Parts: sequence; structure tokens; C-alpha cells
Amino acid sequence: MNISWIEAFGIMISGLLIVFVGLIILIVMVVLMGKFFKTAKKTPKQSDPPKAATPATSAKSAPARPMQVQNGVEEETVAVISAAVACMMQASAPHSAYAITGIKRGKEPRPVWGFAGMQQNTRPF
Amino acid sequence: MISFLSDTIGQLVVDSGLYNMTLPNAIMISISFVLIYLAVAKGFEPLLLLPIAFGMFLSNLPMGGIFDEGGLIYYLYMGVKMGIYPPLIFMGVGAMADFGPLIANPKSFLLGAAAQLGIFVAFLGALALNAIPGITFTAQQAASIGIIGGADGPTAIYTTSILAPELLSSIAIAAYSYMALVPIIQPPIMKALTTDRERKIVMEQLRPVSKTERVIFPILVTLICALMVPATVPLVGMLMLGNLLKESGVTERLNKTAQNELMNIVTIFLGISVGATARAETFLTGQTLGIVLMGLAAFAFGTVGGVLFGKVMCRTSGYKVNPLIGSAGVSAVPMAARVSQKVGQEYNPTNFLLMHALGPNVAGVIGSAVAAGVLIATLGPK
Repeated sequence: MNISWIEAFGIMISGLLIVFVGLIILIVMVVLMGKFFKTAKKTPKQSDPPKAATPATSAKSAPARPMQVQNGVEEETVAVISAAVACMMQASAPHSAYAITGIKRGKEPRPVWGFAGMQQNTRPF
Repeated sequence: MISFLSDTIGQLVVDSGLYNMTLPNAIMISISFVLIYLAVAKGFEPLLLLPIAFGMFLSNLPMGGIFDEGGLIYYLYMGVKMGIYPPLIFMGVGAMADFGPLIANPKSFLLGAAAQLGIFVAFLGALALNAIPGITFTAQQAASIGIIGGADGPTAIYTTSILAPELLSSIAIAAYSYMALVPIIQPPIMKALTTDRERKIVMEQLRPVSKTERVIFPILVTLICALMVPATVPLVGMLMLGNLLKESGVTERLNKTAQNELMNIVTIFLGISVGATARAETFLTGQTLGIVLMGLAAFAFGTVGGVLFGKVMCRTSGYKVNPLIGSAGVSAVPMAARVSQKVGQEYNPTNFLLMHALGPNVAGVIGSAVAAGVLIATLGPK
């Protein structure tokens, strides 16, 4: 099928227009979705602000306890763990007050092959 | 006895591939060797280029008949002809995609839309090539060439199989070769269109995205795209199904299959079938040269469109958006996003644009599927 230049430009303009309009509609819907879930998340906490303020205030007024770090844990490791906790808390509970009170090594984990075997056998069908 | 032997041996010689080898066969086989070299030694999109190259090799072996009616690839090709393989690959792509950066910053959709400029510029460019003697592209063929600018292999193959199946092999090879060349094609354009100040812009951290939003997003996108352009349903629908399988968290086995086994099987069948269509009579023509040239134009103008729109967003937002992420709107995921990151870091080593660039990158996948739907709806068989 051969087309004229006018038809070709028409396809170009209408194609770009439809792509933009479609994606703009998606932008609007995604923004509305984000606002809806932000509002829905905030609503149950509206009755709590006075309580939420109290622990934060008491945390600020209480003298800060020094962090207990297990022997053998390097300063760089403490810095990395603190940064990771800060990122996680920012994502999951952005307005909460917290303090890291200690860093120590966890128990020796199950051997990897044993863990894989346990997972294989207990995974729901 | 001797005459029987000589007749038998004579017949075997006459029926052999070597005896029936022609110059076009030899040229196509040589080209397939070059593509195999690029895939294996240079790492040019090997997952698809290697099966494509080998399919080309098998199909051009004289007397092999692998692509003739009754041959193995003749039946495997049915999946391409009926538009089955590309949507299945898109399902795997969706299962691997992370739409979080896009949900967190929906304005990235605009960059994904702007980068589709390359598709339509190449469409016009292919029609303009009709002025050259020996090159004749119909509107459908020009649209199939243009879709190379979407930088999306499955979209290019799906669109071409509907609009211009005779150009499938050339367009697929051009599309995957240029996708591998994104780190070479894009940076000079990005640097030419942006200022030093713009390249150094550090963007704000993206907001966290909840699981509920991630689950609703694929359903929403499918609904909107399908209601606007029904021809997008196979591609966008399967893309979003794959993503929903991942994000729902309750179909882990299906998610793993979509990302791994299913995608790998379909990739092999698709690659070898598409490669087998590269016969001398359709490949060794002036049209193939036109496709190669327009493919490059499509990628270049896609980058131009994305970066220029990124500059507009940069100015209107008060220098909060780094225009380099606009180039990631071409949907070569995640390579184009990595290129934005790399170029950004050249000018500001502390700048991490990768997550911001992934938004336009995955938006480009949706944008190119919508553009393909528009072209199929406008120029496809009624």
C-alpha cells in the first residue's frame, strides 16, 4: 500500500499524539493511585498523633545510651549497618524515631545446602 | 555393477549441497558467520543474535530444506507468523521488569513517549528513500523499519510479522545489532544536546512504592492501553501479565518459569525462525541497506527526542530533572539506563542516575508497544 506524504505526516502526528495522550492518562492515573494509597495509609494514624509525639519527645528528652558494639565488629561495618537501617526505616516508617542500641553477630546460619534442602521439601505445592 | 556404482555416486554428487551451492548462498553463509562472530566474540545481544545467525546459516545451506514446507523451521516459524512468540517473550520481560521507579516518578512516562520520535522519523525516512532507484518501500514496510526505533526486539518482530513479513530477517538483525550498539550510538548525541550544568544535575531520591501500587499498576496500564488502542493488547497485556506474576508474590513458580524456562525456549524458537527467513533473494537487496541506514536514524532520533524532552522537563522543573535520563526512553532495558548512568557519572562521579533512568527506560517499552499498536491499527490488515 502506497500513501501520500500528507497521509504519512498524518500517521506520524496522530501516532505521536496517541502515544503521548495514552501515557499522560497513565501518569494521571498513577499519580491519583499514589495519592490515594498515601491518604489511606495516613488515615488510621490520624487518631494517634498525640501518642506518636510522646515517644519521640521522650526519646529526645532521655539521655542517649551509647551503642553497644560486639568485639571484632569493625567501624566500617557499623557505619554500613547504620546506613542500611536508616534507609530501611526511611522507606518503611519515615516519621518514626529510633535508635540503634547495639550491633552483634547473629547465630551461625544453617549450612547453605541444608537450607536449600529444607526449602525444597517444605515449599507449599 | 560399475555403471550402477558410478550412477549412484554421480546422483549423490548432483544432490549434494556443495554441487548446488550458488554465490548468493555462499554470501549469506558468510554473513551468518560474521553475525555469529559478533554474538560470540563481541557479545552483541548473543541470546537472540546467535540463534538468528545460526538460523540464517541453516536456511542458506543448499538442498537442506529446513525452511521449506515440511521442514523443521517451517513449523517453528508458525509461532512468528501467528504472532505467538513475541508476546510470550514480552511476558518474560514483564516478569523481569521493575516498574517501581516509573510508579515513583510517573513523569518518566513522558520521556518514554518522546523517545518514540525515532519510530516515526524513520517511518518518514524510509518513505523518502523511495526516491532512490532500486529502493521501494510500501507504507507497511516503512512502518516496520520505523519500529526499529522502539529499540525493542519483540515489538519489532511482532509488528513486522504483521505489516511486512518479507522484511522480518533484515529488520530483526538490524534491531538487535543496533540495540547492542546503544552504548556507542547514544553518548555522542547525549553530550551534544546537553550542557555541562544539565549533565551534573543530581535528582531527588525516589519515593518508596508500596506492594499494592505495584500490583495495581499492570492491571491499570493494560486497561488504559487496551481501551485506547486495542491492537496493543497482545504486547502490553502479556508484558503486564508477566509483571503481575512477579509483583503479586503468590505465583512464584509461574514467575520463575516466565523469566527463565519459557523465555529461553521461545527465544530459541523465535531466533532460529527469524534467522531462517534471511534468504539471499530477500536479504541481498538495496532494501536491506535502506533498512540498516534507517535503523540507525531511528535509534538516533529516538535518543534526540528523549533528551530534548528531558531538557524541557529540566527547565520547567527548575533544574530538578537531569536530561540525560531522557535517552533511556528508548526501550533497550536496562542498557539505555546504564548509558545514562555512565555518561552522568563522567561529569559528576557522585551522581547515581540509574534508578531515575529506569523509569523512562521501562516507560519506553510501554510507549513502543503503544506506537506499534497505532501503526498496526492504521496500516495493518483490516
